Amino acid sequence: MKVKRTEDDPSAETRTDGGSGQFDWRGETTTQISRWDRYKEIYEERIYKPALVAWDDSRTRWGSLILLFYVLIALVALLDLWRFPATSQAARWMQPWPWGSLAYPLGTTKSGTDLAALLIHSTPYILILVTAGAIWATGIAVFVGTVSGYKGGTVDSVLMSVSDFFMAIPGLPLVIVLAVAFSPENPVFVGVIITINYWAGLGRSLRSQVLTIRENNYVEAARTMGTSTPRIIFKDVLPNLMPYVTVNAVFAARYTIFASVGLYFLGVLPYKIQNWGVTLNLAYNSAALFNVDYAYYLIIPMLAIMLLSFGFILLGQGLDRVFNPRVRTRMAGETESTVEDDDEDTGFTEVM
Amino acid sequence: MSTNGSTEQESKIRTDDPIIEVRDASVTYDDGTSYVLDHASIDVERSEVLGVVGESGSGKSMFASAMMDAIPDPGVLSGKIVYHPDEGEPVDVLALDDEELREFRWEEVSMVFQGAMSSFNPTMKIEEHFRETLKAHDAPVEEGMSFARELLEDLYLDPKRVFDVYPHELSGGMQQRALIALSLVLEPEVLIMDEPTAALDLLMQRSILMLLHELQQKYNLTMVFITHDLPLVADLADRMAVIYAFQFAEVGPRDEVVGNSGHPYTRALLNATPNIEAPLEEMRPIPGDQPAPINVPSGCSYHPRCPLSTEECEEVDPSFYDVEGDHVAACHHWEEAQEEIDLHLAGDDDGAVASDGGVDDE
Amino acid sequence: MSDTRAGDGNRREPSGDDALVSLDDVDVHFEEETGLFDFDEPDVVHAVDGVSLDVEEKDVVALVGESGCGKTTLGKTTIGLQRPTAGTVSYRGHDIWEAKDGRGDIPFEEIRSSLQIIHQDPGSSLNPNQRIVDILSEPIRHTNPDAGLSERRSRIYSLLERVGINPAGEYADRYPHQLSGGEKQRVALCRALLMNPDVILADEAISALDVSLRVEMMDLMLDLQEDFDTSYVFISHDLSNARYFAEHGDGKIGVMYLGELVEIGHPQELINDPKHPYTQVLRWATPKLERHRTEPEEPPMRKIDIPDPVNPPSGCRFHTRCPEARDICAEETPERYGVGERGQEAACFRVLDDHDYWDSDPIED
Repeated sequence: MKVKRTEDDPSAETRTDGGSGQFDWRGETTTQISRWDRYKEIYEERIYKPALVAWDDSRTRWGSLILLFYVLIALVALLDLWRFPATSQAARWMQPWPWGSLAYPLGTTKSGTDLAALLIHSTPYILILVTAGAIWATGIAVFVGTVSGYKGGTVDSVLMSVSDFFMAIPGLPLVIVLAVAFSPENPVFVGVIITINYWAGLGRSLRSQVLTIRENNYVEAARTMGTSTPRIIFKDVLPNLMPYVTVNAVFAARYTIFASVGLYFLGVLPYKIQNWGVTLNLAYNSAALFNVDYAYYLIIPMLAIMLLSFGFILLGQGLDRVFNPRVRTRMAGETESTVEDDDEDTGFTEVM
Repeated sequence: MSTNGSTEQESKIRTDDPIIEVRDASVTYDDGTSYVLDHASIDVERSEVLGVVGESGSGKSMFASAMMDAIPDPGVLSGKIVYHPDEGEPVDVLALDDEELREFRWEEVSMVFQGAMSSFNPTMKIEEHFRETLKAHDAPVEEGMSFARELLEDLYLDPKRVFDVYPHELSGGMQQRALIALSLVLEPEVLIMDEPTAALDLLMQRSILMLLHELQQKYNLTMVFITHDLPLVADLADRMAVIYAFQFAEVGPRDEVVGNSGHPYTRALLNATPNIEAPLEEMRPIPGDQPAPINVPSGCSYHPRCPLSTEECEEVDPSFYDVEGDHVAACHHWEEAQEEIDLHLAGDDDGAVASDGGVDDE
Repeated sequence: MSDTRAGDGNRREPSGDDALVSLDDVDVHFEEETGLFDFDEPDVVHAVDGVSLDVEEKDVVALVGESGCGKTTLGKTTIGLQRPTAGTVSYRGHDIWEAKDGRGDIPFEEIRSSLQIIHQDPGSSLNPNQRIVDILSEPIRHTNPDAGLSERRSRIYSLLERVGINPAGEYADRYPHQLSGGEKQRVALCRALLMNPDVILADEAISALDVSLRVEMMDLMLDLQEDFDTSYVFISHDLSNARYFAEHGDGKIGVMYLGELVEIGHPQELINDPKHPYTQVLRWATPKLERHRTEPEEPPMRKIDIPDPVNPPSGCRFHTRCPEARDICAEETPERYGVGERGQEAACFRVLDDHDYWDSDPIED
C-alpha cells in the first residue's frame, strides 16, 4: 500500500528508469552549466567572496594595510633603496624630524648611525623570522591536534605524551640553551627555535576543538560514505577549525616577535646589528632611558614592534569572519531562508 | 494585523472568571515594522488547562514569555496583560516595577521551559535550588522544603534521593519533573509550560502529562500548556487555542477545536498529524511554508496556503467569528471549512460531515 | 517477508541469501572507561543484547522504544557503524566485520557504500562550511569517480528537484544555514541516496521537524524507495510515526526494551493486538486524538522510570514494571515466540499456552 499523491509530484517528467538505482543523470534538468561558468564559480567561491567578506571588515583593511606597509619597507631594504646603516654616517644624537633633518627622519644613534636605516634593514629579517615561527608553531599544532583528536586511541596517547613532554620543558631556558648552542643566524632557524615548544599547548587546545567537531553528524555521514580519513580531516574538520587556527596563528606570530626582541635584547641570540631587539639593547645601554632627549632612540623601535604586532592582531580578527559561512553569504548579498533557525523546534529525544 | 479591541470582539474573547487577560499583546524587534507576536488577545480561565498549539516559528514561545513580561531585549512588548488574583485588585502586569515583577513571577505565575537541564545550575544540588528559591522570595524555608518533598512525591520522585544529587545525575524525565516541582514550590496560581516534554520520549511524556493532570486537580492550578504537538495536549486541555503566524487563529473548548474546528489551518493541522488510529490515506501534509515575521501575507495570514481563500481573505484580516458558544475562529469562511475539509479522527468510521472526500489543492 | 520459526526465538540460523542485512544474536556492550585509580569492576552498559533481525530488499523496518533502549545502537550496528561485541552482522551473506578486517570475500568499500544514514538533527548533519552542491558531490565522488563536473551537477540538480527543492540551481549554491530544517533533511536524504545504497538508516530523521512536515518527509522517503531500490531502518520513539512509515512501506515494527527486541510484527497486528505488555504500554503512551476528551488512563506499568541499563533486571527485563509479571518472569528469560501466521513474534511467556508462567504467582511490589 504505497502512497501516491500524483497531484504533488513535482517532477514527473524527470522520471528515472527505476529498479537499478542508476539515476538518469543525463536527463532533462532545468539548468546546464558550461566550463566557463565553472571556472567563474571556483573563482567566486574560493577567492572573490572570502576576499569580499574579509575586506568588508575595517579591521582586515587596516591590518592588511599595516602589514603591507611592512612588506614594502622590507622591499625597500631588499632593493637597496635606502642607505645601509653604518657608524658615523651622520652627526651623533640627531633628533628625529621635525626637530632634526629630513635626510635622517628618525634621527641617529649614539654612534651616528641612521636610526631609520637600522629599522628598515632589519625588517626583512624580522618578517621572515616571525612568519617562520608562526607557521612552524601553528602548522605542527594543527597537524598534531587534528590527527590526535580525530584518530583517538593509541595515536592520540602517543602524540599527547610527546606534547606533554614538550610542554613540560620550560620554554625560555630551553630556547636560550638552544640559541646559545646553535648560534643561529638564519632567520627561519631562529623562528623555529623560538617556537620550539610553543606548538604543544596549541596542539592540545586544537585537539579538544577537534574532539567536539568530530561528534558532529556530518563527520559520521562522511565516514559512513567511506571517505578516507585525510579527506575528512581536510574537508570537514579543518574548515571548521579555521577560526580558531587564525586567531592562534596571530598569537604565535606575536609571541615570536616579542620573544625574539626580548632574546636579542638580552643578548642571547647572536648579535647582529640589523635587528630591532639589538637596537633596543643599544638604546638601553646608551642610557636613552634616562635622558629625555634620547628617548626617541628607545621609543621608535618600540613603536615599530608594536605596530607590527597590532597589524597581525587586526588581520587575524578580520580573517576570522571569512571562515564563517553566514557572514560570507550575507556579504555577497544572498538572502537567507525565511524560516528563522533559532526559533526552530527541536523535538529531541535522548537516544543512545 | 487584526485589532481585537472592539467590544464585539471583546465579548467573543471574554470568559467567565479569567485569571489572566491578554489584550493586543504585541512583540516587535524593530519598532513595529514586523511583529513576532501580533496583537494576540485571549483570556485564561481560572483553574483551567489551556492548550496553546502552534508550530515552530508561530510565535507561541513569545506568547509564553509575554505573559510573564519576560520578552528578552531588544524586543518591545505592548498591549495589556491583567492578572486577577484570588483576592485583591487586578494587577496590570506590564506596569509592575522590577521588584513587584520579581514577586509576581514564581509566586503568582510560574514558568517551566523545555530542556530542564539548562534551567538548573549545574554546580548546585537539587536541594540547594529549592532552598535558594524559597529564600530569594522570603518564604518560610522549612515549610517550603516539606512542601517540596510532597511535590516530588506527587511526581513519583524520591525526595531523599533527588535532593542530594546534581542535576546532571538525573535522567531527562527526572529533571523535568524536578523542575516542575521547583516551579510549584511557592504555590503559584498559574503554571505556564513551554514545550515541557519536547525533549523526552513517549512514555515519559505521557506519564508527565498524567502527573500534571493530578497536580492540577490536587492544587487547583491554572495551566497554560504550549506545544507544537496537538495530540499530546488534546488529552489534557479544557480549552485550546491555535496560533498561526503570530496571531490566534482559533480558540475554544477542546472538543470543539478538535472535533468541530472552524479554521482551515486547524483542520489541516489535524489531518497532517500522524495518528495511530486514523486511516492512513487521509493524512496529508500542509502545502507551503509558514511566513517569517517580515513577510506576513496581507489580509488573512493563512490565505496563500488555504484552499478556500477568496479575495476577501487577501484583503481583510479576519477577526474572531462565533462558531458555537465559546468557540471562535478567525476565518471568513469557517462554515465552508467545516463542510469542505474532512477530518479523520480516532473512532471515526465514516469520516466527518462530507461533501467530497478531502481537499485537493490542485 | 522475514523468516519465522515459532518457538525458536532468538536463536536462528542466518537466512542466507534472502536477507539483505542479517543480524545474528548480536550483543553490543559498552564498558565504562576506568581511570588509573579505579579499582572497581568497570560498569558495562548492555546497549544491545542477543538481538537477531533481518532486513530484506526494499523492506521497511521501524524500531521503536524509549530512550536508552538501544534502538540507535542497534540501527548503527545494522549499517556497520557500530561493531558488535558478540554475534555476526552479515550483508548479503558476507560478514561485515570480517570484510573490514580484510578476511572477507568482497571488499569492505562495497559494503560500506551500500549502507547509509540520515541523522536526527538537520543542523549538524550538513557541513556548515560547504555549499549544498559540494556536499552532494561527495557521494558522487564515491560512486562515479569519473563523472565530470557538469555530469555531477546535472545529477545533483535532478535529484534536488525530485525531492521538491526548486529551483535546484539556486539552492545548490547555498550554504546549509540558508535552508530550513525540512530542506536540510531532504538534502541529507539526497546525500544518502546518491550513494545508491541498499539500506538507509533513518535515525529519528523526522523527530526534529515540525509536525506538519513529518508526513511529507515520510511520503518522500517511501516514494524514492521505488526508484532507488532501498530498504529503510526507521528509528523512532514515536509509535504513530513508526506506524505510518511501516504500514505505508509494507514493513514491520520492532519494539525494543533495554537492549532486547521484545516484539516484532506487521503494524496492523502489532498495534491492534499487541502481544507483549511493553508494546501495550507504548500504545497507551501514544496520543490518540479523539473527538471527545477522555480521562487520562493509568499507565499499564508498575513504575514510571526505566531501570539502569548497567544493571538490567534478571530474567525478563520488563518484569520490574510489567503489570502481568509473575515470579517466574524474574527467573527465566523468554525467547521470541511466534504468534499467528504473519510472522509476529513476542518475547513473553503469555504467548505460549503451556508454560510454567501460568502456574506461577504474581509478583508483589
